[in-house]
Amino acid sequence: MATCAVVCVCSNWAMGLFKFGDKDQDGRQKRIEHTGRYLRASRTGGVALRAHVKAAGVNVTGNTSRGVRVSTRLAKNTQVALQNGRFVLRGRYGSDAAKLNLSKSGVSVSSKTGIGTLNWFRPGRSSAKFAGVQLRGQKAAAINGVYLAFAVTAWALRGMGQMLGWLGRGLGGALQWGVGEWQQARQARERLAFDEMAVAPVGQRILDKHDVHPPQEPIRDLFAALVCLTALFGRGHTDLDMARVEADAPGHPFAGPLAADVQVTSAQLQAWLAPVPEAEGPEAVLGLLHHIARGFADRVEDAVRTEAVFAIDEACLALGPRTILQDAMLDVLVDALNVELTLAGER
Amino acid sequence: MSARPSTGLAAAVALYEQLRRRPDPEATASQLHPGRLDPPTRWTPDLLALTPYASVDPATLELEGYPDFHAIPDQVLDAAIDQVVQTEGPVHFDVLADRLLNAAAVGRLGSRIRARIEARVEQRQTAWLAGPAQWHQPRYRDWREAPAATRQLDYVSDPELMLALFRAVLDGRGEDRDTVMNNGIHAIGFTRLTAAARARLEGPLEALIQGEYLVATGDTLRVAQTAL
Repeated sequence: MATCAVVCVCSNWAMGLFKFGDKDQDGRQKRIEHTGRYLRASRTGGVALRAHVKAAGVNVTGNTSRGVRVSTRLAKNTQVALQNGRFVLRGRYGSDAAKLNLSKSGVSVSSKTGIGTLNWFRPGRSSAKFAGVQLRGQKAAAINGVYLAFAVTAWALRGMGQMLGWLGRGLGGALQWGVGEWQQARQARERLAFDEMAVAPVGQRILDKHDVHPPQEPIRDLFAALVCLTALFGRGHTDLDMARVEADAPGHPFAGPLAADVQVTSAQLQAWLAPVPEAEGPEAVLGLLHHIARGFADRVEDAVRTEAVFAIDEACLALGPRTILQDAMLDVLVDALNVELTLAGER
Repeated sequence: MSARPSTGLAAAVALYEQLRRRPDPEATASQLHPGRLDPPTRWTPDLLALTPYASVDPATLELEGYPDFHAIPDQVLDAAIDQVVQTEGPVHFDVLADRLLNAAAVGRLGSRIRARIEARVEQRQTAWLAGPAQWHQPRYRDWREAPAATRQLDYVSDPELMLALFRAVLDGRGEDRDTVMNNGIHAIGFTRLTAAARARLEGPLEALIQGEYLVATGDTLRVAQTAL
């Protein structure tokens, strides 16, 4: 047990000593080395003692393996030094993407990569770090080259993927637009096109003949007439199946009365439409719908008018798919009730 | 057009109910449904919202200034009676007498005064006075707003009690008889269903069932299909 504890303590000490597990600013393993106040130990540099003092802006560093170095800051990011009598000039400027390096022998440009730094002019001055092992020179340049090749390939693949996505979305949108246009064109071919100016006078003639003034009729009867004209007459029916109403609104105390009101208005509307010449067929029923809807609209609020459109549309669909005449009727209804419909997704 | 889940004819029924429950004062013609605006000839439920009980202002009856009640001319008394009935009908005879005495500043309903008022309203069949429309289609009134002395269940006419019971069933405030009675009178301002109140309500409830306004299945009550 005691041996085990000693091994663990030693292991932790070694981990802390050589920066195992420590991360640099890029989140990678720090270079494996020991840097104490006076002692530095690394794989390539061996063990060295060093000391450093600073006086009057001049740094003096003594190192058992490198000798004595005297250095000072010449300008921002620029350092001049004398190391064992040899003059040193160092400068490094710019961003990580393209740093300008200054030395006695001239200037070079280097870029930081995900794995180290690649010197574009002097590849031998490149560096790379892998699992905390720092490499310099041609090996580092080769590793950076391989890394860059992979990075460029991945970037190119990602770019292609994005382009394919945009292309796909573009094609999908174009296809959707095309199908929508085609459907609208098909519906337009199948729709009866009647405008207010065409149907209103025909409806007014019928109402005048029977001395009917929709704005004076009870609202409940106007609504029953709208249901009757659109849901029943719009598909060639005259009777509302009570069982169907009961099935949709089971036990509702107003289901029976609505059906009864629709029946009575149906009889009245049939009587008014019976003497109308065949030539005025659709215009007559659409004209009546227009005026009755206008009479209804003048007496109720916006919300009720909108509810009426949806309720009547639902009533049409409850009795079967909408007919072409019902499509035209709903157009007239929406116009006469002054309801603004917004398609789903439309702003 | 139908982005919402399909409800069949239920949406139309719901909207129709909404329209039936709102006042429609502009309706003056009935070409779409002949006879729609004819005055009702049998009891008909009022579907409008509860309205405060409106009592007549005695000062408007113009019975002041006479030396005694018998000095009031017949036509003046008839006009006052009409006004009370129009405003408060169906109105109980005792309530009517109370309004007239207040207006004439007379303190007590003696036998001679009672006989005089009864003589002016001799056609009445019950303890209540009402115009035909008030009798067949009474308003749904909140008796909490009535003068304190008037606020008695015994002063509420049978047609009005029928309406309170019918509305309790229609508005879903109970299905069994006791709950319907309790909620029915509670809605119009009477909070306690005493034995006397229950006995008073039995007749109107039976009239609703006999008239096929409500259907009783065991103890359960529901609105008949032809009631509305």
